[in-house]
Amino acid sequence: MKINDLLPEFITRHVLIAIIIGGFGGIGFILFLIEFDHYTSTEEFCTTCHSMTLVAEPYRESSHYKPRSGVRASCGDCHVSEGVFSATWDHFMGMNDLLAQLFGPDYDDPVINALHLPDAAFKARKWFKDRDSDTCNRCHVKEAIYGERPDTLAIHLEDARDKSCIECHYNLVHRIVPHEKTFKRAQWNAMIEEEFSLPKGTAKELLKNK
Amino acid sequence: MKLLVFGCKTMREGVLATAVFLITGVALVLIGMKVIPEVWFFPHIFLALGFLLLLFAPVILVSTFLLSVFPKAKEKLDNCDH
Repeated sequence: MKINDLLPEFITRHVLIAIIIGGFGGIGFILFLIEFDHYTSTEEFCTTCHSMTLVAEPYRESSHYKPRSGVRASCGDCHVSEGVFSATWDHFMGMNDLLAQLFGPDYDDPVINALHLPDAAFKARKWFKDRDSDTCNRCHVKEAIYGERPDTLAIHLEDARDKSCIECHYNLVHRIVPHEKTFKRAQWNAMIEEEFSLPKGTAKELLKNK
Repeated sequence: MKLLVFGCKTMREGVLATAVFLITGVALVLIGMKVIPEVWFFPHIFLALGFLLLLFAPVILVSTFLLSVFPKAKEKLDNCDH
């Protein structure tokens, strides 16, 4: 008995070859995407851009980098969605950042970087909120947040029951940026000018020249 | 309008373009990861281009497949020399 006798009529030899090659190609494609997503989610990769090393400084002092448990969250653990298709989509959308880095303001400059930080923070917070803080929930389980104070668990189970993590924990890892509702650009600019010993009004000029 | 006429040639070109995109994409990503020195944003540009090619490869293949199952295209493709 030939193999052809076992297969439906429309599966000819050519179709069979195409299915086998396409199948292996598809598996290879998905495996490669998984590897690619994994590689581009690492701290090592993210900090190949100088602008990201500035953002990584506070992260390296945070509890997400130096946790008591030893479970370290890398850039991608928080900022890239889980699953190969979602992660690929995030990386595809992340190419905007590469374009901004290439053609936008000089984010490698610590002053420019600090001036634009609030916009980046608001964008990142929105990203988390839109996904109901999915990436936080990779590691954190609301029902298991006992904390050190007796009411920590109760707060998470009652007061924050319908809230997303990012709604309260929006200043955990990177430099502290006020909530978008209370953020005042003039105050932020003045703080950056003072921090970098710049003459008054420089921040506004720098932002205008972007 | 000739581009929209789907026949044996366009079918082969679609499959070939997919293969070229896939292989070039993988090559560019590997070059970006392993070969290109970290000068300016060259590794990132190679990675981004490779990534785009990789993503477009299945898009072309799926489009080719969808076009090939259109009733009229199917009749034409049945007469193709393999």
